[in-house]
This record gives sequence, C-alpha cells and structure tokens, in this order.
Amino acid sequence: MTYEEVLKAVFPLLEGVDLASCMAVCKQWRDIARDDYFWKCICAKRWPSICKQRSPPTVTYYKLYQTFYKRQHCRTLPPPKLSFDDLDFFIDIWTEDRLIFSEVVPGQVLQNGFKIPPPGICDVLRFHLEGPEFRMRLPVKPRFTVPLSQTVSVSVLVARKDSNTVACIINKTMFEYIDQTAYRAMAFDYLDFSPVHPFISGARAWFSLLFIEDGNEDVIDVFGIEMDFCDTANSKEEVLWLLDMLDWQ
Amino acid sequence: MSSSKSNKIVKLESSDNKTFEVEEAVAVQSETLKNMVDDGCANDTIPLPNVNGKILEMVLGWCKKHVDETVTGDELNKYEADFLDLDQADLYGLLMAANFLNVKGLLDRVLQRVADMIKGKKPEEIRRIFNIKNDFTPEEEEEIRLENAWAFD
Repeated sequence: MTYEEVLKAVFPLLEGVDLASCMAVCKQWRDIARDDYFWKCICAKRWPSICKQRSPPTVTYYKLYQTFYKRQHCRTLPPPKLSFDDLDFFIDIWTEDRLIFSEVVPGQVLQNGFKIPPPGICDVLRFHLEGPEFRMRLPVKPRFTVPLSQTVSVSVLVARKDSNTVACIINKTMFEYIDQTAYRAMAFDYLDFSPVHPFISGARAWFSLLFIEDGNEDVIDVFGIEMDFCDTANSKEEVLWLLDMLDWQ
Repeated sequence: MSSSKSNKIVKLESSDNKTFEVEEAVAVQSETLKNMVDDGCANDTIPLPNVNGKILEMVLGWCKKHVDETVTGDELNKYEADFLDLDQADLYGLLMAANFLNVKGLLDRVLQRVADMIKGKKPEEIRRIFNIKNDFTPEEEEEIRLENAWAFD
C-alpha cells in the first residue's frame, strides 16, 4: 500500500471541513483531496439521493458541498441595476386642493440630501438628519407653511431614463402622523411591485415633512422633505434594488 | 479422519529476523496466511520480509485477542482503542502490515484511526502529527486558504 493509497483510503472517511483542511497540508495532499471523487463520497453521506444521477447537479460535487453543507447567513446584495442618476422623482404636495409644492427632483439631488441643516431645528431632528442611515432628502426652497387644520396630501411618481418607464411610489396619500416631538409629519403608502415579484407585500414608502417649531402652534414651517423605505430597505443599495422591483410601465 | 488443525503451530519470521510461533487459529485471522495454510505452504517458517518484528508482534497480539473467546465485547473495544494509540510511524507500519497480511477489521480500524487523528485539526496541526513538510509557496498557501475559506468560518 503506497502512501498515496493510504490517503485515498482515509479521505472518504473524513467530513467535508476536514478534507478541506487536508487540502492545505501539502501539495501531495492537496492534489489528492481535490479529486471530486472524495467530494462525491462526502455528498453521498449527506444527501444520498444526489448521487443517484450519473453526473453532479452542479459543476462539481465539491461546489455542491461547500454551497449547501450549512446555511449561509451572510448574504450581500449584488450591485443594483439602477442608479440615482437614472431617476427623476415627481413630487406633488397639496393642502386641501391647493398645490403647495410641485417639483421634478433628480435622483442625485435626493440622494445627496441635506448638506447643512438650517439653524433652529430641534436636537432630535438634527440627530436624525446627521444619522448614518441612508435617507432620500431634499431641502425645500422656498420654505412653506402648512396649517395643521387642513388635510395635507402627497403623491410621488418616479421615472427611469434607462427604459423610459414610470412607477408609482406614493399614490396621493394624506399626512396622518404628525410627530410633534420629532418635528416630522409623515405619510405612507404601500408599494406596488412588478408581477415578476409576486410574493412581496407590506413594503411601504414613507414621506416626511420636516419642520421647525416657530412658536405658532397652528402651522408647521416646513424646511425639508424626506422619503424612505425604512421597513424594508435601509442602505443605498437596498433602496435601489427595491425601486428596481417596482411595477415600471 | 479428524483434522487436528486446532493444535497446529505456524511459524513466522519478521524482516529483522525475529521468529514468532502462533496457533493456526490465530494465524488464519490473516487471509494471506490462511491462504498459505490452505495451500499447504505453512509447514516451514514463513518469511515476512515487509513486516518488522515490532509490528508483527502487534498484529499477532491483535489476532490473538480476537480469537480468545474469554474476551468480552467491552474488553475488546477497550483493547482496540488502546492498541491504536500509536505514533504516526507505527501507524503507518501497522497499515502496511494489515494491508499485506489482510487481517480482517484491522485495516479498517487503522484507517479510521488515521481519519480520527485528522478530524477537527487545522492544517498546521495535521502536518505536525504526520510529520509533513509544508511545501507550498506563500502564494499557493494563500490560494488554498481562500478556496477553502468556506470551511473555516
């Protein structure tokens, strides 16, 4: 029995991680342990049915084993197909039926957000604006005031230049949540996804009016707007992936 | 006509000229020796040029233990566990002998023992146990480490 024959007799008795260790011992061990035959033995112990076919279902049994031998928890997103440069956002805000804000905002502008928050904003809001989470934000110039007694509503459409299509982010919904302590008035709407993604529900788009407390309790003095998908997507890549999945028409 | 095989003695000579005498029932635990006995070639001392005295003694001890009817199952298990507590040089010699002499169960036990010595060990530890030189270049070693990063999480 040669040294090599001994290794070939021992390797099928090992677990996958041990055979992987053997590959790193020396060149001779590596060259023998790389043989897919041993990985077939290991796969056969773990998933006996897999070896009932003539050839492996993946390119090699080695690849099959390392992919599935345990649950992968850390899964990073691939780079998104969409970029903020491709997007234009159509934002309209009404009080009752009067249009108080109506702009086409390029994606880059929303991505960049606030450079310098205006003076006079409360600490809670300042912390929020300076926080690490990715949020789409826009300073509102000129600032506008909104009487609290009136209903305020918003709609947001988004267009993408790469395919000349449009999707709806918010379909005219009212601001119902006014967080006085955080100086944000919030509205949300559920996102509509392309039929290609049939099983996603409940992902929401949130739209906030950011305001300064100016002593007058009947109006809010809006200096900026913010849009996010905090239930679902919190990084720039996640947001772009989520937008890519909308029902673009 | 009775066969008096149970009293027959088999004589063996190791590579380093040590002689051993064992009962035939013990010797035929080795398929190789059994074939010789059956072919009538076991009347004189059988030379075993590829097994040294130390290893041959171990193998014959194994065979004796497995023929002894007074040995219980638990005693046998303990014996086998202690038996295989060897360094890698002796293990290798034992592997060669078990293979050549074709002793039932011994080869499998030794192979499993080698596998158990590898299990759960890092490559550096395996090299130390089996006295293996690391002949990878740093680049090759890094390549293997990356390829097998999945196993070391």
